[in-house]
Amino acid sequence: MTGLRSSIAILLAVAVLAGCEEPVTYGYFRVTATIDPASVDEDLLKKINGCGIVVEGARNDRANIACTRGSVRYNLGKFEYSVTEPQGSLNFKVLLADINGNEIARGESGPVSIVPKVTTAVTVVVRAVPGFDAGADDR
Amino acid sequence: MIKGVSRCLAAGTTAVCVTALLGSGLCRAEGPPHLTDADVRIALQLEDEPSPILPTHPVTPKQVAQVPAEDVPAYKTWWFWALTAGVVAGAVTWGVVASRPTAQPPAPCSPGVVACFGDGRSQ
Repeated sequence: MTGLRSSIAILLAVAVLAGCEEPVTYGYFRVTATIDPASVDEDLLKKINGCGIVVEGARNDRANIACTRGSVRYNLGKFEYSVTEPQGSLNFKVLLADINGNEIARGESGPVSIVPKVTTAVTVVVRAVPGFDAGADDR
Repeated sequence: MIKGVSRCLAAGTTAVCVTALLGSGLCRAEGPPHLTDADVRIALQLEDEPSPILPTHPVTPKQVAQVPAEDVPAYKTWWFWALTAGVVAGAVTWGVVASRPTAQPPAPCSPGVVACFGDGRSQ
């Protein structure tokens, strides 16, 4: 009998605690990605055939930006990211690749703190990867 | 007299004691208590008769189980509390689930962005 009463008490406690769960809050990032013209010339720009975003830190994620060969501009545009982690930091990377998947250029934001309910503006400047031969894949 | 009483004490039981006293003739001869033959017979009969309270044979657990149980209040039964626990747990669970707000969606993506992803969003 005592065991049953204890079980009921535990059930009630668990249910109450479950009801006290904190609501989900998001932290937002609006990232502006640009290509540094001083680092990436027009020839190299025309070779870009793939654009990727990598998120690292408190959360790991990735996404693609629509980049087709010959249509990429120096202003890659803005992308937005949301996260439910209440604290920590994120590092945003933008990777540009040629048609063979070779990395042409890259840029990263550095650690950016997560602030719940706040949209944090981030800038990523993409620069050419040293050593990439712009004329090696001129198909 | 003293010798007879001592013999009685040594003998132990009332029946033996009375018999011994009567046999010796000392009980009638002097002093109280003046026991009559009828008193002695009654005493002896009481000694020999089985007790009306105590059972004459050992009671087995089976016989005990056959005794009809008294009316037990419902709240003292295990099934009452099991049923109560089930009802309470079900009601509480339903209440918590029903009152919990659905997962809050993130803010909508701004127009014109090249990508919008993360928690609560599909790319």
